[in-house]
Amino acid sequence: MVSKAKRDVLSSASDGAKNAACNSAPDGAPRRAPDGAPRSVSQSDAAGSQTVDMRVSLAGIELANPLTVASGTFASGREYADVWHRIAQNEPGLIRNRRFPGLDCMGALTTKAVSLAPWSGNATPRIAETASGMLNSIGLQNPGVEAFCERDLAWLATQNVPVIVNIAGHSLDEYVAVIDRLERESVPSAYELNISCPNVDAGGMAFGTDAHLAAELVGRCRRATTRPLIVKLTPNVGSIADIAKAVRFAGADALSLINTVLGMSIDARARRTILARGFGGLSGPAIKPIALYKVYECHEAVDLPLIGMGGVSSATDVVEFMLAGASVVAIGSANFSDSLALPRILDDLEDYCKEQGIHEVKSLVGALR
Amino acid sequence: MIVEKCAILGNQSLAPNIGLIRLESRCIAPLVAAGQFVHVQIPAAGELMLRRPFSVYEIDDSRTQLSIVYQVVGRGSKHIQELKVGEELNLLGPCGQGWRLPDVHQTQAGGRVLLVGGGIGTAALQLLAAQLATLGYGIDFVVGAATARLLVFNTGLEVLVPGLKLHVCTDDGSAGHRGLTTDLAEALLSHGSYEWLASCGPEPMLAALASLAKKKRLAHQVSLEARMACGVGACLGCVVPTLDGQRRVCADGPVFDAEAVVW
Repeated sequence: MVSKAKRDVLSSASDGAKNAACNSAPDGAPRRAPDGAPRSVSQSDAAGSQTVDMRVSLAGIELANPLTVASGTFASGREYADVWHRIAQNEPGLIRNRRFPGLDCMGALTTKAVSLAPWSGNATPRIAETASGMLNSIGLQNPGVEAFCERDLAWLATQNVPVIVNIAGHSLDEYVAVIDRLERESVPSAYELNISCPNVDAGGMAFGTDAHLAAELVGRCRRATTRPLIVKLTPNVGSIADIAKAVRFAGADALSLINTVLGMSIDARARRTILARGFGGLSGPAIKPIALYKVYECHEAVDLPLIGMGGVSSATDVVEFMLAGASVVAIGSANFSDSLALPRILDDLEDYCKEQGIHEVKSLVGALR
Repeated sequence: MIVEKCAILGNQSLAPNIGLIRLESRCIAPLVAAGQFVHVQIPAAGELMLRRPFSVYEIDDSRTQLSIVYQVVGRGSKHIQELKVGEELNLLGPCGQGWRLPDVHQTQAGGRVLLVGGGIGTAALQLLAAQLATLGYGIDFVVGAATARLLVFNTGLEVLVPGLKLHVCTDDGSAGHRGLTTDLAEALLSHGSYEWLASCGPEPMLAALASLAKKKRLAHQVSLEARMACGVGACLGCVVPTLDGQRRVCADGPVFDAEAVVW
């Protein structure tokens, strides 16, 4: 199924590219479609004029649709905004969605993790491809919260998209200090506490594998803000439901799951691990069944909205996560193979709803038969 | 940077495990600057999810075709080797920052530049050589490979590019000088006077050239290779340590000032 989903993505990309004449004017300057809108015939026209209410809400935030990105796969959005903009100028037929090309087509943007001081991350290689997936050991490289506010949040303020800021720390105090600084900014709609990164030595996943520690951290952060607190959980635990219950009790407003699955990759000839750090976090279609089950498990265990993620690369993947109980679904490593993953999946999700006669996408949440 | 499905016009073997693939590219080819790369999706291989970066090797005169040179090192490149004419490749590009050409006003008219390519890395210097020649520079181009059979893509360059002199070396002496590109480069640098140095190849070669250039106070740019995921500067998978902190090979590079890189 995984490779089928992948083929679907590829084939839709190919259809789009065929429609899209490369619209460079003779002088080399790109030219927009006359009305500035995508030019290809929308398949949705065939499905009738029925509109789908794509809105969902998450811990009190209203989102235009259920799609976001997994922290760390999209930076603060600037790089992809640039790629989307160029594609829209040169190949307007590649994407049907009328909201394209801005970041405002996203339900929410989840930033890369930000810590109190700058973190330089791990040694390279930090990336290893595996069967239907990839390992990473980036190590939360980031410029620190001050630079993040100056550079990234200032830019995000000009983009019309709800922003979820992912937060990391080596200690409880560091998490709280990052929140204190972010409280002075108007851009963040919510915070996502990263207590599940497998790639840092102190903090990170250590907070997410111990229910007491996780609850203590969430309690401290809870007292530091009235903004929605999303807690991102790791699958690398005995019972994710126990952690979910603990952080719910401590004041979490929503859960994000799953972070990456611990894994390793070895070069048989060199007899060395491929990642410099030795191990890292597995993501991609390979982990989707694990992620779906963890979402289902937490949906059964706690009464909190969930952001589901893990190997999402198609609209049907999104629907599966929603049926398992996710209100919002994040696209992660699929962004790497397909820069247009999110807008494309959004189009396909809308088509799915029309085909299925679904008027409100939120009706899918937890709607397993 | 855009996405384009490119029809394969040719896929020829140049040497054992080295091939050249020629693609129709009406969107990306016109935008490519020397030293930039394309990020290639591996087709019909759902389990290989990451794109692969390849330097753009050549662009045809009409700027509607581009070619890349690949070395078969793993399953992804094996798939590329098996692709047939008429099949398609999905490209993201042009990616990264290419060569920053020497300023003709700052350098001596008719001055010489030195290019050093090791193995498959030589491909990244091809477009650059042609461009430097049109700017009027004389070019010494050092090309190295393990053995004569692997010296594939610079034959004929002297004919194609006016003012270019090729200097060949192989590890086993089966063609040209027996030894390393750095030996040849050092000899050229000690006898001649150069305005600029550009190199691409194995990291030890680049590091050795960087220290040579530093001694000579010669401006030196390198094109780096790295394991990469997004190709657009978002994931921070491909960083390299520099004096200016961690820099992204895909977006800040792949071409860097050699002096700025922490070797």
